[in-house]
Amino acid sequence: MELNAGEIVCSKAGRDKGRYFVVMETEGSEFVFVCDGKLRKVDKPKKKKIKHLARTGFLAEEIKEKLSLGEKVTNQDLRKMLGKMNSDANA
Amino acid sequence: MIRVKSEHEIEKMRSAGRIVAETFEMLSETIKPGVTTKELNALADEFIKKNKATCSFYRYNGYPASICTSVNEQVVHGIPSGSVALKAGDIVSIDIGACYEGYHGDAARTFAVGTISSEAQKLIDVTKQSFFEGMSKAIPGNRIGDIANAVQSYVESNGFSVVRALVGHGVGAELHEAPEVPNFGTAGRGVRLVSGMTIAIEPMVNMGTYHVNTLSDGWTVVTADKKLSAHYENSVVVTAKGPEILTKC
Repeated sequence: MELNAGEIVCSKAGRDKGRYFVVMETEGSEFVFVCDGKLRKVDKPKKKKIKHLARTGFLAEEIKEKLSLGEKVTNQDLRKMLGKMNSDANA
Repeated sequence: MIRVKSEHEIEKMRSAGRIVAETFEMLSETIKPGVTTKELNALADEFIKKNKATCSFYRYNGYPASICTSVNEQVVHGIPSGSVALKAGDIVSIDIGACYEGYHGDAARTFAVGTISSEAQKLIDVTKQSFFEGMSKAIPGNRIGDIANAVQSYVESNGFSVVRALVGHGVGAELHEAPEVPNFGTAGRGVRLVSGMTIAIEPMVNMGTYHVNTLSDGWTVVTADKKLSAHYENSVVVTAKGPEILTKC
């Protein structure tokens, strides 16, 4: 499975299992760095194995755009995008 | 890939949607016997541009006009023409898209021209209500099939058919985005809905068969049996509080 920056993924393993994250950066074919603006903040992205993530088929267009332009993505941006999804998942 | 929108993006879509809804309000007063579909196109084009937006359909895949005007047996994508004057008893489906600051609003309505038959009025009413039946299922956790099935069940229980060759769609920075939103299908199937998804739900309802043909102009879709067809569409955002129509005043 190949993931790209801006994609929304769901954690399949670890203490963040079931939470949604945005892929911030990719590293090789096995790892990506993910953030959600709350548990995993922008200044300390979580390195996760791709095999421990599930693709959702959703893309955070605005965040992908900012990442590709090298603009700063804030924790608030991520929380606003994922907060609703994470609260839906916990509902 | 389905694009989930941020609140910032949704706000822009509300602005685009408001322009579309206001265009319908303006046009509804001019739809009378004698007016040509080209005149309606010109009025909509002028109004949308006056509101600092662009017409989403113009030049989209080569489409030659700013709005779609589909009369009677025409289902969708009717090209406005100076030689098509509306007559009393006609029904006309108008589809409008406006792009404001990079985001689209897309909606459609079917209007009665003068006095129409009670059967035609029922077709328009059922088509509109089928949209709301479908929209009521657009809540996080449900699936696209729940919307599709609600539309189909309502339409068929009223003795009409839903067009299957054309479907609704995601809408946002692109006029047509993933996922497809059909008006027929099985509840519980398809893409799961999440907050921030923006979709255009658009039942196209035929009085007779659901089969359609495309005319030689390459655009106009007509019912295969030449019976009437109606269309009702809004752009909608899925939220935890329930669906919100973006194409409203």
